[in-house]
Amino acid sequence: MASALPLLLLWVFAPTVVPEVFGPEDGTGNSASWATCVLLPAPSVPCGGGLGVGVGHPTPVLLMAPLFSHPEDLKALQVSIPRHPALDAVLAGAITIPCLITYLGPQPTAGTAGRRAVLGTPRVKWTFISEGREVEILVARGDRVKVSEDYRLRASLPIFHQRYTNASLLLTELRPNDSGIYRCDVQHGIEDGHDILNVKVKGVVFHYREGSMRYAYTFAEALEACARIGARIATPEQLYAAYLGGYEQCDAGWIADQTVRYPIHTPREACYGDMNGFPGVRNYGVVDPEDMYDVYCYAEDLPGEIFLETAPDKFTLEEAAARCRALGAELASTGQLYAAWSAGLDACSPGWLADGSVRYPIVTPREQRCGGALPGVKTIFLFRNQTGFPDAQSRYDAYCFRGITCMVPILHANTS
Amino acid sequence: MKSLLFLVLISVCWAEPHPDNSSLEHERIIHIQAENGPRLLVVAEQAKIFSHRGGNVTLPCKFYHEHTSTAGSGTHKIRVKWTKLTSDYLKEVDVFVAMGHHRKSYGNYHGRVFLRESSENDASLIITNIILEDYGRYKCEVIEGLEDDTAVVALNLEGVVFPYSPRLGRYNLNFHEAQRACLDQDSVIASFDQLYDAWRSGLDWCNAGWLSDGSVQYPITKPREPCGGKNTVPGVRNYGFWDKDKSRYDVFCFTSNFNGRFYYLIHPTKLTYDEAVQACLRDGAQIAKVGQIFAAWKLLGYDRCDAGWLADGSVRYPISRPRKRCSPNEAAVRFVGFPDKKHKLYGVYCFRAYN
Repeated sequence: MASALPLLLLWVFAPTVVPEVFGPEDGTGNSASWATCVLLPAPSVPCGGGLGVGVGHPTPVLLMAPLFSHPEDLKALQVSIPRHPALDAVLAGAITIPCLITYLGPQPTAGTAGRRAVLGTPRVKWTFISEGREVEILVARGDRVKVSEDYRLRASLPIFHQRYTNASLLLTELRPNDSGIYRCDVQHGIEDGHDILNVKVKGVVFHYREGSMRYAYTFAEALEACARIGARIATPEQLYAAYLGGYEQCDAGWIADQTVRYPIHTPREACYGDMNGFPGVRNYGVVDPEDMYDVYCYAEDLPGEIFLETAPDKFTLEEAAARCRALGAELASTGQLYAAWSAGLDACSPGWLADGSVRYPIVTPREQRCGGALPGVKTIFLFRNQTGFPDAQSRYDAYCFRGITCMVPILHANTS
Repeated sequence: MKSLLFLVLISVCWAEPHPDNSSLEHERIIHIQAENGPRLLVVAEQAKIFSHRGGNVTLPCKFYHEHTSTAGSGTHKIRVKWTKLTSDYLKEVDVFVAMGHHRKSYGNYHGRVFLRESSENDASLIITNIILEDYGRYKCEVIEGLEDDTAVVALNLEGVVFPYSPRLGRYNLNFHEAQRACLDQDSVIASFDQLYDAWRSGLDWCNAGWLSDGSVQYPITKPREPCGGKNTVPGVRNYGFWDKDKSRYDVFCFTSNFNGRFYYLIHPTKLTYDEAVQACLRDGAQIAKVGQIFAAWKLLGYDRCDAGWLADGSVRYPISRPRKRCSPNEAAVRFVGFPDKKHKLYGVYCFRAYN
């Protein structure tokens, strides 16, 4: 801890030097320098900076895949998914996964229509691999494209039909279960090649309720509640994307467009809403902003790290906050815990959060213990009807949050 | 005929402007409806094919059109590609590709693989002069236009699995050295399926060894205390996946039929290791490898109650008819050890390859 401080002081002065050294030499124009962040006092990690710099790693050259594995089997066709810049895939958003085709022989022309042209064009197939299953997204060849039923209207090749060397895939309305491996497979005559990319869709929609009771927020208070816990109110698109990813919650909550909705897959009494026996997102429509409901919040990035603190006797809410402060951190917000859970945090220990709630993140369910058979952020309620935060004097662990500071290490300026 | 095909093609397609782009350029994109389009089916009549080293084999693969009206391949050339699957299913090894009159084979398959083409829809692959490394699962992929489908065929080899540790002693090989050790004994590192089959036919070995997928396991048919517990069920005990560089274990090797003659050299005196090597050379052969003694014993029933040097400096003898003083209770390749190479106490097993 003590040794980290002088190092940090050194680095603070670095950014003024670097932009001159790392000009936009890669020609993309918007990437002024390579940023690395320091997590105090942990080792440095890559980060998307708030300084307007490009996201990435300090050594872009190493990210290129080796071109040839066997010199004797030299491929006349090279397919590559560039790793840089990193893709930003967020819930309900869109991504373009680049896939570039390089010919080592003479390049065929995109040319005119007709049978010869079709035979002379590459065939592209995109597949998605998740949990050991590979499914087809689309296949295209020449001016013909076949999109699989599950991807109708949300997968396309925006450039391919103008430039046959660019098979980039545009995928819109991203859902949580779009996280996985994407494979771009190109075949041209006897030649073929492929590349893969792992994509993680960030962002999580969660139901939030006031500590005291159900349905306690006006629309204005709902907006405020999400902001207070380090999140923002969910949009209709985000809630729908979460629903498609399996989200189920039988509580009406405010949505950013002043509507009130909730996501249901298994219709049942008291959860029919406006859709009776059909699964779907129930929608009360735009309602009076003074009406009272819960709220659906959305959290995405975790600009730091969350860690669990424990002690033999655990902590009261006040002690928990003090413990986090003593470690140069603060009690984590509920939004931060959801974001950390969505990024893979798993802990079977209920802990205090800044809003006075007690929760714990479960990624890998352990059946009876740890909140049942489903993954999720589990909440300790005071009452059986899922209301009420625990008494501030009751004793739990603590989830602390420590922010991240972004800066460019002086090391990189020196080595270039 | 051609115009008829064209009409059929049009009827299964419909054109519409690209939903995300209004540019005129894009209006020529033709969207094919997946559910109504022609469908290609690829079928392997047998999922598993047996052969042995040196053998020839046909991996079956045929393709069919579900809507026969668009069959006949008038519009597109059929492309057939064979790849070999690995334990990492994202990595496949290229084997062979054919399209129109073009043919291409890859790596050590070069010159050994052909399409059978017994009929118009036959994509079966013939592999000749099979080598140990050919063992594994093969994928037959057929592409026609936008359509494609695949089938997988497993190529199994008859042979024998044997545990191996080098002169250095037990648990001395990292994964890469284990692979090398098997190659040096005329064998390859065994797969889990091969070890499992060997266990089913009675292999019991209480030292853990590497397998080709990077896992470390050992086969137990007679449960006992030091081998996973006395009151456990028989099984292939699995240590799981270990660091391929740092972890050290024995290895399970696999070998199959050889093309040559394995024999005990009739020699007037016992030999040191160096004399043994020379004696085989003088006989127009080479000192035999561990894989060869196991193959001869298992596949040819070779039986000889004379301890003999082998190429790795070990001394062993193969017993297929158990008897007193040789191997009283079981058919086995008996292991004497890695004696001092100067000891003039043993005979030698030689191997002469046929050309």
